[in-house]
Amino acid sequence: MEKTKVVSEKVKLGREIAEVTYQKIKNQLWVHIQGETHVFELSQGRKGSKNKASVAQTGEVLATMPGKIIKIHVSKDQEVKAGDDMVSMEAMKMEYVLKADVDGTVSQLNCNEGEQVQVGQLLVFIKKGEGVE
Amino acid sequence: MSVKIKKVAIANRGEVAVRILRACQDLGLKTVLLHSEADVATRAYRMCDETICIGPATTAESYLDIEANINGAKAAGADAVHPGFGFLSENSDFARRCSEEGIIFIGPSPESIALLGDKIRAKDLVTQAEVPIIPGYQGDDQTIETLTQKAEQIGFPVIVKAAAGGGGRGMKVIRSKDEAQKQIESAKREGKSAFGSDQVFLEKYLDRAKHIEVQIFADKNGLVHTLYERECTIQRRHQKIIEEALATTLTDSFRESLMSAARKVAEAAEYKGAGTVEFLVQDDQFYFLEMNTRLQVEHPVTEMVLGIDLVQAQIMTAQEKELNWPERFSPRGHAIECRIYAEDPYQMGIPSTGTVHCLKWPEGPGRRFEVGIEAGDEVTSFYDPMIAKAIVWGETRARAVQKMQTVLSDSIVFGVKTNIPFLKAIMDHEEFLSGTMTTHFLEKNFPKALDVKELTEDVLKYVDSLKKKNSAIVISRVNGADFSSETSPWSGEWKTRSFNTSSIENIKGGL
Repeated sequence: MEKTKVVSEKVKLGREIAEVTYQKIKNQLWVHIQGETHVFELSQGRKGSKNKASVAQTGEVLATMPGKIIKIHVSKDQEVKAGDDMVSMEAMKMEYVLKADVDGTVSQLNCNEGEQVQVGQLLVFIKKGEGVE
Repeated sequence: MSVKIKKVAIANRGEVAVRILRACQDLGLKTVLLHSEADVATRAYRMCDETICIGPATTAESYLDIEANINGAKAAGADAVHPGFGFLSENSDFARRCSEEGIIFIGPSPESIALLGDKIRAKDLVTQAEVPIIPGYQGDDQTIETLTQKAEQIGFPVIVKAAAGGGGRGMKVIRSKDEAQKQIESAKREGKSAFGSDQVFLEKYLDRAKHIEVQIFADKNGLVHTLYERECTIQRRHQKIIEEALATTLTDSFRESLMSAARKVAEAAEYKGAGTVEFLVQDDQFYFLEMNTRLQVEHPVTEMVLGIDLVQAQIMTAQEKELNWPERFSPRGHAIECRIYAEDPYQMGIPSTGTVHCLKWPEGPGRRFEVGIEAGDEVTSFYDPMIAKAIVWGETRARAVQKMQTVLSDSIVFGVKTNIPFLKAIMDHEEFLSGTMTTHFLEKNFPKALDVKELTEDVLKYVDSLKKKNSAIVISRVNGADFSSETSPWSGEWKTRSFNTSSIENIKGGL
């Protein structure tokens, strides 16, 4: 593990003097300021392209955390609507339901019940239905 | 005559393991931590006198494995086992196995655990002690006519639940007689399709209740001390988040009847040691929920207002020592506990795992932090995501709330996200401040993920300046590898993280 220094300093914010603590962790900067912690991503050069992709409706159902697949609610080639339950997974003793973000057809099913998956892993791909674009 | 205990095995992990080992240290006892393979980089591991690995990370093969724990305790030569909470703490088989092996189980007898852990037997016991339970119907006559009639007798609103159910499926609220048939049929259908059985039961639906529990402690002589109540109304999917002592809106006479009901339950069960009798309270009525036969997560708030040490008291009772407690305590001031979870409040609380790089707790008078990890340790997805508890004491509830707001603002956790912003939002909420909250507080007031706060101009300017002087951040790698090439110069955009949260929905609670 790389060790980075935790820096604390007093800064002037307008009229107020605030105590700030920050630390660089991998390519993020964690900043505690005015009683709150904010995380800043350090992207190199390319402006916000990654951010855009995460908000767009892609039809990709990704594992949001490392955990175990406990139930798959759909089958291949099934037609689904945005908001339908796709996969239930369990992590840290909690159960989560991942839902479809678009209307369409399940074109890929990349996981099995009982399987351990990694964060960001593509579990289900939904091919967008006609006229949805 | 007291029982000799020299070494205590701790069959648990995290902050409660630290809590127990501190109590042991204060009593001059040696400790051995029974831990999983995943839990070597933890605070309890570093603090214990000895450690024994009892199995892999998976709880079924370590913390929940009775024989592994027994073998660990025996191998270490421990005279006693403290089970903490969760895991094997309410497992009567474990308590029995300990006594078979001549190890003292720090807790009640296996018989008490089994009796109070069995919902039906516990309800019978409580009913015989004339303590009210939630009115309901669990009969075999399942005709719509009978069920409707029973629902009417209970009084609307009534909840109809699939007998084989769980996780909210096959549960319907009947608000009036007109709805009864429709809702019962619907619950039966859901029960049939989800669990293969259309058997249902009925229960009075408490839509504006508070969760209030009484701490009891039966000493070595069997004398039951009632140690006042705690309010744990702020819950998410039946998981407590904020607890306080005493409860916010009880009259003295109501408190007396609640405490006396709790005492009756403990006496009827011939209880020994620390236990908690949980109630729901609505419209000046209280209803027994269950009795927990162990230390509670929220025990510190009781300790703060009474000036006692419940874990020491547990161990001393196991040693058959006198507690020297007064016949009746006078609570002082108000205490609040916030559970700090490694989760993302901006993403409906999904767990946040990873290495914790920085941890700072703002110590001070009337502040207490129960913490299981230190900077450099990892939060994994194997266990409950609670990483710490912050507890404050103030002369009044208002001052305690104010202190908690300061504590939450000044606590720093870098590396994993925490629910601190969420806790702060609750501490600022009018309904919480007024003390009138009910168990539906969170679903009513915080149905969605928290909104990411806009940063002010001043903060943005500061972040901009940080960017400019980034070279001042000294970075050294343990392995000495060159770090500068991948990050310098930091010419990129700075932005707060944002996620698409609409596709995540959490449906089931944990501990």
